[in-house]
Amino acid sequence: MKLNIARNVHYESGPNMTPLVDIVMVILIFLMLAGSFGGAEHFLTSNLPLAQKGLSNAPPPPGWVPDEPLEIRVDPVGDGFRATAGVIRASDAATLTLQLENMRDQFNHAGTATNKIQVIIIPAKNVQYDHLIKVYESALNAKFEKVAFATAHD
Amino acid sequence: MINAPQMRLSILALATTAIATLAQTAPTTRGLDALDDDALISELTNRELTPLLDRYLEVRNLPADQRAAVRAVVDAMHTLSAATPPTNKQRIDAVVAINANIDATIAALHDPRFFLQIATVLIRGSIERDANTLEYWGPSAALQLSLRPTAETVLKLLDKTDEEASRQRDAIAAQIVPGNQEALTPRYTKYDTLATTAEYTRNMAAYYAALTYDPAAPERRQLAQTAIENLDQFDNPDSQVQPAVRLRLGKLHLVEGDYPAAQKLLASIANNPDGEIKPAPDLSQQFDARYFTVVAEMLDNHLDDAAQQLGTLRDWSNTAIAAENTTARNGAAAATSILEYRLLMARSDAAGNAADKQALRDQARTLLTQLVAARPELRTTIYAQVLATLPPDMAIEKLDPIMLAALVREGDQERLKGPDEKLNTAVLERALAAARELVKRRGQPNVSDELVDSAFLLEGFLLDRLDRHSEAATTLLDYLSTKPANLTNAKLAMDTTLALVDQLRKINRFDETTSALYQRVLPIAIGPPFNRHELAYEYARQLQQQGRYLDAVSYFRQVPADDPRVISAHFYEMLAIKQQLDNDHGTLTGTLRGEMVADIHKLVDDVTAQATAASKNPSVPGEQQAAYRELVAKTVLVAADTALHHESQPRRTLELLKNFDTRFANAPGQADRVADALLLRVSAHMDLNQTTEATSDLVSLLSTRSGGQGAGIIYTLLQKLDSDFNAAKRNGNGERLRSLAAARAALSGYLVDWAARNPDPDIRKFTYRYRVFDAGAHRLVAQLETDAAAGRTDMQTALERYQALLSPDNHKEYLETLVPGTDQAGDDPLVLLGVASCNFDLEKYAEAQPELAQLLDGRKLGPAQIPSSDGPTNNDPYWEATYELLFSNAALIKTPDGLAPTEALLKRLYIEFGPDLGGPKWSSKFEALRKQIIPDFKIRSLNQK
Repeated sequence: MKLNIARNVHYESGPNMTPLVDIVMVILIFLMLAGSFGGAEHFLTSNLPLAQKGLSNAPPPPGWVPDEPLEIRVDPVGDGFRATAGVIRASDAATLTLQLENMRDQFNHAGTATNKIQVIIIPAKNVQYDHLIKVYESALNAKFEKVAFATAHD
Repeated sequence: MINAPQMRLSILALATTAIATLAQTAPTTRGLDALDDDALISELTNRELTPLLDRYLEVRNLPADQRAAVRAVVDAMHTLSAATPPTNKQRIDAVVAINANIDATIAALHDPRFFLQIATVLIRGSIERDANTLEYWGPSAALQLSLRPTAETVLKLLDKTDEEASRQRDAIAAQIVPGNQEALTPRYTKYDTLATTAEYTRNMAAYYAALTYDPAAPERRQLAQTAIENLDQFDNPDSQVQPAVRLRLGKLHLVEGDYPAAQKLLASIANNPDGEIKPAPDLSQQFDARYFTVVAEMLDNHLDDAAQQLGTLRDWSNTAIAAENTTARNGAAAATSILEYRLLMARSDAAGNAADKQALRDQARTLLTQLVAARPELRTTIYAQVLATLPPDMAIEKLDPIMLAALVREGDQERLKGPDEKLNTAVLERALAAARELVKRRGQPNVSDELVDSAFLLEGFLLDRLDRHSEAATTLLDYLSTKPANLTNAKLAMDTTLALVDQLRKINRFDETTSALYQRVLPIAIGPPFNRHELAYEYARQLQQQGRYLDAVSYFRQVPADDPRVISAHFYEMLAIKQQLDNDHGTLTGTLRGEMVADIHKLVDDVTAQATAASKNPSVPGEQQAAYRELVAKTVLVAADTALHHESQPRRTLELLKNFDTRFANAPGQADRVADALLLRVSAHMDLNQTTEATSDLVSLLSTRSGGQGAGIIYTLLQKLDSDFNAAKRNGNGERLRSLAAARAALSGYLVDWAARNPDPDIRKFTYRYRVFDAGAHRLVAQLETDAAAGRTDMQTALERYQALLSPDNHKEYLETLVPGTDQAGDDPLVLLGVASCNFDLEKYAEAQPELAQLLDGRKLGPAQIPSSDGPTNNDPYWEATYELLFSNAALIKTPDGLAPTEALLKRLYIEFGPDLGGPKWSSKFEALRKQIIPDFKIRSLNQK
């Protein structure tokens, strides 16, 4: 079974891996994540490397503002999940996609380009993989371009 | 031969008396040894000598199944003829048991007296009741079907009685010779009487069997005709039962559909021309004759004649039945009302158009509604009849009130089923819908207040029976909110609600719905007319925890004097008054405040006296004695706090707290209490401008403690200060804020010195953190300073404290505080934020902006929100830095293009985090900034497609 995500993925660089991004690939990503849950905090890239951040020596110019990531936290709720990102509260993929797409659209209209938004999915330790897949898919279906995973939170 | 028709008639009078005798369960006066063979069974049955009966059946060597059958029949007879009338269910069960076991019983025994006895019990205990319903209300398929097996059992029993009695009579006749005639004749007569009685009763009872068939069924006609033929011989004065026989013949003609014949016979009873009927019909028989005359006219479709006859019946009843005979008059009135109902329904069926049909039907139902109101004891029968006419799948909202009431009644009966009976939830659900519909129709025609009251109450009970306990409790509370006039019902509802809520709380007391129910039921239960004051303590505590202090006080005052928690109630009442004073925003008048303080004084005295006495009472367990000591300590603190903050008497505070730590050295929670007392002492000294004494007080206390204990006390004290500070901020109490901030700064300075000079390395290692805290405490004092120049000076001092923390020595100490493995690059982000924020407060935006930008760019302050078990919480340092960065940009950049990224980020943050951006601490500042730089920006919903 192919997941309907490949066509939504945009790569800024690197080889075109689109044909390989299928369910097997996604599962592999989560298997990698499983080994890292509870470890030191760092991001595990999925389809894109994260922008490097940190203090630089040169002071930022007046009027400068940071690029803020959009963090989606995923917690288990019963047999399901709850995704939280700012005001977003969703327990199913359709709602999450809708809310994320509206948020992304509003960001764009408010002057923040999509490629300036790094989405970071932060799962709780015991989140099921298939729920993470749904959240990941939702972010892509909402047309976010940079989607990454962070290690699990408590 | 003695078997002459004339003699048969003469003994019939005796036979009818015999039936009455047989129906009674009183034992005979003869000894058991005088009885022959099977006759013993009826005697044992009458005397309810069950063990002897069992023994007899065993001795008879009856097969086990026959023994069981006889035993079941006897038990059922006991039920039906018990002195206490059986319930409907017991009655039905008994009748079913007899029907099921009668064949085996007949096969096992030969006593005609016993068989006649069973038949009589069945007729009196069951059949007459149902037959009466069919006679008065007309055919009902369900009732007819349920009655038929019993009617058939009776016929079977009477046939067997006749057969056995005749056989035994004939056997005796064959033995009679001149020498033994005198001895055998009584026995002969006995069996002959029994045979005649059985034959007569059988034909009279055939009427009941006929009634169980549909009017068009051939069995009905056949049974009636045979009975008419056989009873005809008794329709003469010699029988002594002529009026009863004539009446039954009239009814049998009605049953067979020969209405003219019926009317003729019934008219003869009503009028008794020339006294032809002997004995003369009694009042009841005359009434029945007139009544069934109307029925005959109605069944013959002579509806106008029937209506006229009904009027005649009413007139006759009013004159013939003595006014003082209210029972008979009421009975006659009810019967005629039922007849009028049937007549109206018949007219409705015959009406030519729908409007007339409906109008007559409405009139009929109104009549029944009135009858239910006038004769509530007939409710079950009336409702059963109404239910029988209920149209299938009729929408509840289209039903008449009487039908709704019938459905509710049916549900009520269903809910009363025992735990071992199968519950018909469909009936309960239907009754629930009907009850709700009735409540909705309050005030409408034919919907009395009593009907609504009982329907509303039953709605709750039905929900409970359906295991929808939360809904049940909610409904019962809704019912109680209507302040029902029926106090018995109200008390029942209250008891049930309390039981339900208690049950729900045992399952999960933290459930939101259950908590809400508990909150709701308590004030109703405590108030009149229920006056459950034992719940006042619990409710008052809840109100207090919700911040409804004055309400809590009023309920604490309702705790009964003999309640074991009364001392606690007084303590919490005192506390609630003080909490109200603490949280007042200037709404209380001076007089009222004075009264409240006086109340506190009184309660302080009461609680101190009562709790001190209890703590020394040898009969009080040691653990409780300690709890009372703690209560006294807390009371002293409340008194000291009140003196300081609400009476402006810091000296009194110090007086009250003198030697506090030694006075309550053994009280539980001593460390916390001492910290509370310490804070009050420090505050009191500071109010008196006795800073030295404040510090000295603290030092003298700390000197008595080890290093770890001292640090603990200071830490607790600072926590208390922060908690008080936040409370003062919520209440907008600027003066208190400044006082607390000053106390905090004074304390933190001391804390730094104390830690830095402490010989204990475990305390010394916290010096750097105390310095950071101290710098923040001084910045806070500067922010709260009302004098602008003084504020700037204070802020500059705070900035310098922060900048000093960036020195190489302090940086080294900072690195030592880090957990191994933590990123050690750069300076302490909290110090950097402090420097930037002080510059920001000093309006040096050009200096603040790059510092803030670098902190945020490196994500050194963490994310906007931090996950927790209660959901994400706002990260204050992040929001402080973000707000100050955006504000600095807006202050520094004057070109639209230059400000565009700032505007974009602010919009983005609003889109992502909503209108409460930054949480309670920062949202108003962000909102002010939004109005300044993006006034037209609006957030759209994220849920719109």
